[in-house]
Amino acid sequence: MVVRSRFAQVRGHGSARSGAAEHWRMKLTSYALLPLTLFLIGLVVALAGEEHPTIAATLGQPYVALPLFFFVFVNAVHMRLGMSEIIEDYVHSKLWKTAAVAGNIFFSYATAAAAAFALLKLSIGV
Amino acid sequence: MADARFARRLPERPLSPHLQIYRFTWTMAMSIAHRVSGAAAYFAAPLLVLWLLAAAQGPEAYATLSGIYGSWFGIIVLIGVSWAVIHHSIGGVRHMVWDATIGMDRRSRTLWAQGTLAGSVLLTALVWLAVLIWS
Amino acid sequence: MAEFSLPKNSRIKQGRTWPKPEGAERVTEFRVYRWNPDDGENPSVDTYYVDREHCGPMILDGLIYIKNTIDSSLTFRRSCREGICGSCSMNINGANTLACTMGMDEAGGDSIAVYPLPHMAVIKDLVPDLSTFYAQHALIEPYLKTETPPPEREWTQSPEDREKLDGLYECILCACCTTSCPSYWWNGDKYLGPAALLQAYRWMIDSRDEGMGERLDTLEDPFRLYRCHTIMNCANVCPKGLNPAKAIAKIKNLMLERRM
Ligand code: HEM
Ligand code: SF4
Ligand code: SF4
Ligand code: FES
Repeated sequence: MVVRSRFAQVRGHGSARSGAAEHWRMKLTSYALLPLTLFLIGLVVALAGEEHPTIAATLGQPYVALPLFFFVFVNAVHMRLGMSEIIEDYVHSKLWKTAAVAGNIFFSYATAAAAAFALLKLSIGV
Repeated sequence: MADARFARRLPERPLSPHLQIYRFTWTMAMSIAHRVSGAAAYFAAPLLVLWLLAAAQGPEAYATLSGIYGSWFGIIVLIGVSWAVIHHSIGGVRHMVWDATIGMDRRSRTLWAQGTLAGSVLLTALVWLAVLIWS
Repeated sequence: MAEFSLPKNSRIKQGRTWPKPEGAERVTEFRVYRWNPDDGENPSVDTYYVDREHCGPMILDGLIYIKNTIDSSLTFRRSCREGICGSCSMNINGANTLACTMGMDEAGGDSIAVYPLPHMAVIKDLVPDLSTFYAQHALIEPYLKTETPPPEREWTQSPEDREKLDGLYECILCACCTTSCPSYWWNGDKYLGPAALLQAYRWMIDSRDEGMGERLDTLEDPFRLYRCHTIMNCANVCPKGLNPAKAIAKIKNLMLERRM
């Protein structure tokens, strides 16, 4: 049985002196994602129902591939930060939290890497 | 402030009800919706990756993928995902506005919350209308 | 995991219905959360009928009526009965507010549900344990912090600088906001909650205070400050019409300002 004063509990380990950087990155990525998401939705609508040659050719164009590249990377940072907020809110056990944080980083950057690979192949690959 | 309860061995105090009794508010609902839609977009990210990979792979792979995405089940999933992304994006704008401490008074904050939902439904419908007309 | 359902000892049982006051023509039903630390039972919801002809208009009047004429064991906090002490905060019809400033008619309908402030340890009936809440208030050091030697008379402040405290200093520490905040529900041990953060901001922007930097240091933490996701429940319920969500957004902006 642990008996501690409420003030000791609230002080806990003290302030981590972090969080502002994450908040700033969340803001920056949100601003960047707004036009990029608009572009992505527009692109998907424009390409819906097209055949493969048109799709591959369009996605290989620099003015399409570049914004998509940018979307993929900004989005990876954004979705990692966003999911880590959710994890911090709900997952309290140390073990699960470590697993969730690791899984989140892997998932976010692995999807980004796969997308980047596809885009590279479409634009400069054979 | 040390807790005298431990010494006296009183029964464990109950936790007062929270979600079970709390009244619906628009701001709370849209906050949850922002989270759910963000998480949905998160888990839908591989759908975009698969599309790009299939296009990079070649005509057969792309035809197979188009078949799946274009099936009725695929279309339902895609409608859901597009709604989530659009809803989350508008919710993001709402967050930006509130971060700038604008539109936080009682009337405006409810309007922003309601507008997020109305806007996302409207835009999603427009997007799919565009898909119908285009293809 | 954060627990979204109530633990076993907190599930609410069917309570007892107390008889209607005899000869009462106009009654309002009160469904009130009860928990007695001495009988080892789970909490329950009891039903009472308040005779409106012999009772004041406010919810608090109704609770006092019940205590005086029906069931003297009903326990709740109250003091000023005019919205200034912050004692009688509770959850009424699903939203936190002061029982003394909310009218029974305002609550709407013939039945009024009264619960303690949400997601708190209950001491008895409508009385929650607020000691963590007060410790969180103590953590933000709610007083002037200065290095400059005190002046001969008082610390002076221009009327314009004094005006900046409007909408902040009026807080009566009722805890309606903090206990309405879902982030506080899930992480109330580490997240300071809207009331403490509103006061933190109130002292940061006081023109006489010299401790802004340390105050920001204390708060710059993923849990203490950044659990706020602008859900706005706090601003929706504050009985003094204050806006903790806005104060928190301003603290976040101060955090960014100092690193630019
Ligand atoms: C226009 C595009 C977008 C904007 C403006 C945007 C904006 C935001 C903002 C402001 C937040 C922070 C919410 C908070 O403070 O609690 C957030 C959270 C989040 N975002 Fe986005 N977002 C966008 C696109 C995306 C996409 C495409 C994904 C996923 C692939 C995503 C995933 C998430 C997740 C998982 C969260 C965490 C949700 C939470 O904390 O409740 N976002 N977004
Ligand atoms: S900000 Fe409002 S709701 Fe919160 S403690 Fe102060 S008076 Fe009560
Ligand atoms: S705005 Fe912040 S403090 Fe207020 S209820 Fe929402 S999360 Fe809690
Ligand atoms: S009794 Fe003082 S605020 Fe209600």
